[in-house]
Amino acid sequence: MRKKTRFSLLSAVVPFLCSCASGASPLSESKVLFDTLVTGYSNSGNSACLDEVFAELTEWDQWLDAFHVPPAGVASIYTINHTNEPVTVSAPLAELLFFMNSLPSQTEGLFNPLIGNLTALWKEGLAASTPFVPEQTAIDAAVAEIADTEHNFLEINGNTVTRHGSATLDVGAVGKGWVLREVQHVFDDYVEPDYLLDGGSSSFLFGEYGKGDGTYTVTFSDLATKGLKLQKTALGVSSISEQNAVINGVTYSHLVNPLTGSAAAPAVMASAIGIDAGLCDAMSTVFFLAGAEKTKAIATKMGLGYVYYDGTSFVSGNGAPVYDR
Amino acid sequence: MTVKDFFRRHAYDFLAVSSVLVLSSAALVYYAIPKREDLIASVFVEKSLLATYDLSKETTERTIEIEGKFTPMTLGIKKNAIAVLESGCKSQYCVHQGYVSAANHPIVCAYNEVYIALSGKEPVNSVVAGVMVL
Repeated sequence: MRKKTRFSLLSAVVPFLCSCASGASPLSESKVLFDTLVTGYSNSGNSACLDEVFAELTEWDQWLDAFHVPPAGVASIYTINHTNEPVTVSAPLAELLFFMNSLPSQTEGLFNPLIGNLTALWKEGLAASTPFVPEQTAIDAAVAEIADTEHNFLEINGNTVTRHGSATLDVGAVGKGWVLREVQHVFDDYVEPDYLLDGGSSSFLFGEYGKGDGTYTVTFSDLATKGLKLQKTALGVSSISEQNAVINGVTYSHLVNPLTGSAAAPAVMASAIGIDAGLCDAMSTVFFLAGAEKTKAIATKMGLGYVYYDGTSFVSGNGAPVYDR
Repeated sequence: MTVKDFFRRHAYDFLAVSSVLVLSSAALVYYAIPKREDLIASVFVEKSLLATYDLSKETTERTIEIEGKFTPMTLGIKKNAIAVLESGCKSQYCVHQGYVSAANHPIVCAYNEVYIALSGKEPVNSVVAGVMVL
């Protein structure tokens, strides 16, 4: 009987001791890239994986920089925007530009890669110490420039890119998501399932969380009542949080409609959910500009989950795993 | 053997097993209750890492002055929490965030290009979505 007692004791103690054991410490790494804070999390503590992810992200940061002269031998968005001569870019950047070039026809013109001059116009007005709406004549001129596809277009032949006309490239609505898409292979290469990559709180890559139901919880800074439970997917979010200006009672955001030239915010937040982080990033902007009905149609056509909130009503669909908070 | 005899004979066995179960349950409850995590704050200005603070070692609240891209800023630091107390930015979003003590909750002052990233040792399984691009 004493043996039985000892056995009982041991049986009870073993799970307790096991519960005290712990695996590798989770790791996170942050870096300012693409004019925002990018943070990678490896809950299994895979530092080599995170280092490689950030090495690739840093290379992309040079390619996507539109505001600084790139280092010698590097061709970037800045390079393309400052010449009408053919520019030889890296193969990955050429692939991104090719993707961007294909989006206007798929989004009824709500995504346009050559929106650079228009967004710069609005950025100057909204970021001023006293925010102002740009002159309507300047907005009209920028919209006309984008619409003049005979003279303003991007020609891509292999890795050679030629910008025709005066319209300039803006990768802000797709760049971070595309880059997350491009580095996703590193997590796969390292067989690292439990990861999260946060690109400026607007583009995300989710692995499979190592505990519970395996999902990561997403909450929205612009919507207190809903959240998402995501795993093994990507998320693109466009919202007005922290980037808006109210002028004469109208809320303006950094997201500009290339068809109308308006930056008046038609929504508070729109998100796209799918396996391609680049597509999700671009489509979140399109959804934000499109309105609820058109969002549903475009999301369904592209096989993306979506959530859309205009300040009063919330809609979601195509399997978006929404929960009530 | 009667039931009474059985319990009398195994009284110490029950006591030993019960003690272990109570201890295990107490430990389970202790570990299940979320505790404030030990955090490290990394402060970036523009693209450069300005400083790193081990917030777990902060014993009293203190302030730190830094130069943002356009205006000076005052950071508040206390045990496992950090805040932007003053900033010359017009929106004041960074100030309104108050003290932050979650590893997945960065503080951003877009105007001054100041980013504060928090990291801890607990697994992260949640994020807050909302654009913070310049």
